[in-house]
Amino acid sequence: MNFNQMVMRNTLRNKHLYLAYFLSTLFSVMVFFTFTVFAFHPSLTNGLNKNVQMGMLAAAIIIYGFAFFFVLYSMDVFIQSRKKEFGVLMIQGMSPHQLRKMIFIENLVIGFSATVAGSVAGIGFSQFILWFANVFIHVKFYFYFPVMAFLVTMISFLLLFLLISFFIQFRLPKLQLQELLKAGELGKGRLKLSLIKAVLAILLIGGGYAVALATPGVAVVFVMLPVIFVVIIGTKFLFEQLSVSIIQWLKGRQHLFWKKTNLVVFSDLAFRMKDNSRSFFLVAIISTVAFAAIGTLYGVQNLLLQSYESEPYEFQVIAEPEKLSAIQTQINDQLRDNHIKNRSVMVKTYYDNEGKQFLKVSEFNQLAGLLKEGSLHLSQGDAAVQLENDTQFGNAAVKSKKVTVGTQTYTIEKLRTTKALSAYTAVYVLPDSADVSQLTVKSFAAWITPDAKRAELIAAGKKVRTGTHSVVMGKTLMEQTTIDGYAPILFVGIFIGIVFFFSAGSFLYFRLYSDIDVDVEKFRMIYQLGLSKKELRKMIYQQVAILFFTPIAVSVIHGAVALTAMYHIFQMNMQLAGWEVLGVFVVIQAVYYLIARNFYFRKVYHLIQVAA
Amino acid sequence: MLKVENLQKNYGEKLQFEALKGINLSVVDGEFVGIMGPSGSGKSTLLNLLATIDQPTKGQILLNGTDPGSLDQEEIARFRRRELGFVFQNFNLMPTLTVEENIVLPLTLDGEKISVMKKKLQILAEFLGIEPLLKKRTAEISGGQAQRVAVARAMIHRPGLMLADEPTGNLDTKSSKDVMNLFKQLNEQEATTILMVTHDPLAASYCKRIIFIKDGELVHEIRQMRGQRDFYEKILSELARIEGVDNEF
Repeated sequence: MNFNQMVMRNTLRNKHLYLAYFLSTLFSVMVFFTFTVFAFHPSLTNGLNKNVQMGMLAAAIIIYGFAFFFVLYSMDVFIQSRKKEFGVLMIQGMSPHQLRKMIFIENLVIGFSATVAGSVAGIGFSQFILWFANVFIHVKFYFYFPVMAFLVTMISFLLLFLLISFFIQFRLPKLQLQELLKAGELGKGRLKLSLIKAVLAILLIGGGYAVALATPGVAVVFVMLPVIFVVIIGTKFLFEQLSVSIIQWLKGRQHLFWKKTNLVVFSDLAFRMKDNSRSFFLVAIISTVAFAAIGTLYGVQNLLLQSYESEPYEFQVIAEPEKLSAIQTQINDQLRDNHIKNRSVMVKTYYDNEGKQFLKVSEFNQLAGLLKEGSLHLSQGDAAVQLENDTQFGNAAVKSKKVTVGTQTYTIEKLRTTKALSAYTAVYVLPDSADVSQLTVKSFAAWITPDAKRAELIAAGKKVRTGTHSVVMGKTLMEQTTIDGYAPILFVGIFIGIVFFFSAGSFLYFRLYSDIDVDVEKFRMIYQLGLSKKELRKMIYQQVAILFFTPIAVSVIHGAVALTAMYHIFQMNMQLAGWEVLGVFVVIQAVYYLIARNFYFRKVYHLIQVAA
Repeated sequence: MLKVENLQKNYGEKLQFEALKGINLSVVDGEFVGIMGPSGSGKSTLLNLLATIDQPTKGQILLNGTDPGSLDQEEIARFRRRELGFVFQNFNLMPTLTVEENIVLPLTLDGEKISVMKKKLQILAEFLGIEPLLKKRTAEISGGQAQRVAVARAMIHRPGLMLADEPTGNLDTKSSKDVMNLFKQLNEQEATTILMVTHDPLAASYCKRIIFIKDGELVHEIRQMRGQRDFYEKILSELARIEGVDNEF
């Protein structure tokens, strides 16, 4: 047996130990590979504009960076769990140089097999994503054999493993041999707590939130970076110090701590929190990034679609009266050709030199009738009504008490909320008797198509657009154009989001799995003292729940604040779309938790049975 | 061969605890020395310092003319795999390796030729009577067998000094006797120098000389003169005296 054989045998015969690390690396390879499959997908690379391609590239770099830290942390966790083994080897005369060499070889073996296996798994995973894209966001990609993705993944990850093998040297335990040999035998010592950091955690996060939420409108963009920075630091302290402080405080309350199985669950929780603080931190930040990205993309798309939705007419046009009839004919022809039932109204609107717009009351009532809004009556000859729209974007027009047309001044008796005309500028309804001869006249025509099918409207819309040289755009066509234009970006965003969500869950599970020996030891001891299977299950479920939901809870709160601030840019409060994204994420994590806890419980229970 | 001068070891930062308060000791080639003392007397600390597992606060260790304290990490590793052999209470075998792989580990780390390893392994396995175990994994063998394997691993590279920390601590009486006979055999037939920490008087009775430590100081020393049984009784009375049992009654 020479040195390399020794290392290989040690690796291959220790599958249980290496499995979690192998799976986490395999996972990150799979994710990266899947992404490159899309990044190099012919239908994405050919048809897309420069911005989207830049976006894809940026996303690939983000995923790669994430994979790097993911693998590095997994490796680190893995190395820290093997102190005793290193101790035994070093006492037999393994030099630090040889230890590094051993880790390097191991890493290369695992890295290489994970890269190959991950790419193969990635082919399967990309099919899932294709299906997902097709079903949920109506984006179709066909399958191709991803040679380029294979190459890029191979090269990137071999490079990554070389880099990590290099960096990991600095992470090797620098403890005394004595401590290495006793690792796993001794208790974990006492936790050092820093009250300052615990308080800082509250101050930094609270301050960050306050600034993010209190900043009005577009200014959010400027405070964004400092707030993110402060909150990230705060989150780090939160997991490192505050969580531990809280548990220590809970342990001080005997009526809670000394109650049934709580004693056991809480006993090493503080240490676990501390050990896991970096994983928690990583997971919380990653999830928050995913929230913010998806929430923003989904939210903005929703806002755009809503602005179309609030538009009542399928077609509408304002033009000089002499030009209008040609356009009107075009639209009517197209609607007739496509057998779309419709109703339409044409009215005259008037403009003064200041940009105010006027309508006569009878004509306004025609529009209102088309939309089934109630008709408007002016009480006397010098009364007028100002129009306003009920949109969440607010109303831009100035409200006034009086309005003058030529020589006649009208008193505005009320505001009328309507969809019939957009009222961004000041729009007034005048009596039919009003003298409008001094004003510029335009014609306004509008069509509604209550029962038409979407596809027909899009077809008609396209023809109308061509026939009128883009003067008239159909509402449905514009909607679909937006969806089509948005789809690749949304797809990329949602893809990264899915990847991050899955990664967060997997990372937590691997973290859990790497502590399994300690858990089996602990639970076996208690099991022998007398513990029912039911109680054991309850304890394990609790433990897994704490591990899964601590970072998730933090990231959901972070995400909610981030999205609220995002909506403030648009002068809006948190919208349903934002809650939807957060809700879906919590549901995914809950499902993940339910699966993970069952797996983990069965595994631990099995090991306890075997050992006992 | 081993010379220890004024060896001191303190633990703790603010509140210092003197685990060793200046030990002087010399061991000549081919000796079999036992170190005994009550719990917390400093005997394990002494062994750890000799094993280069821990570093002394003050004083010097000279092993065949080398002070391990003056070596860097790489040199210490080489020193361990060439000059020292270790036997632990809990065996410390690598569970992933087979018995034979565990035994040749020090040679593997030293980059020895496979043919040399095989030859040394064969001779040693025959000598220790562990040939049937060679292909097994460490989980498949008993505690007594595991300790034999650990002894083989500590011996294969012919170290200048073999260090044993409670080698019988986890063994039943019969296995303990087997292992101690093995030590005796190694010492007498192969002239291996052995230093063993134990609090088992029976195991200690196999030694040629016993050093008693109490509260970090060397308090007494006895040699085997008239056979093992006599030595065993001497050890018992010496322990009773040192641990202060005499004054209790």
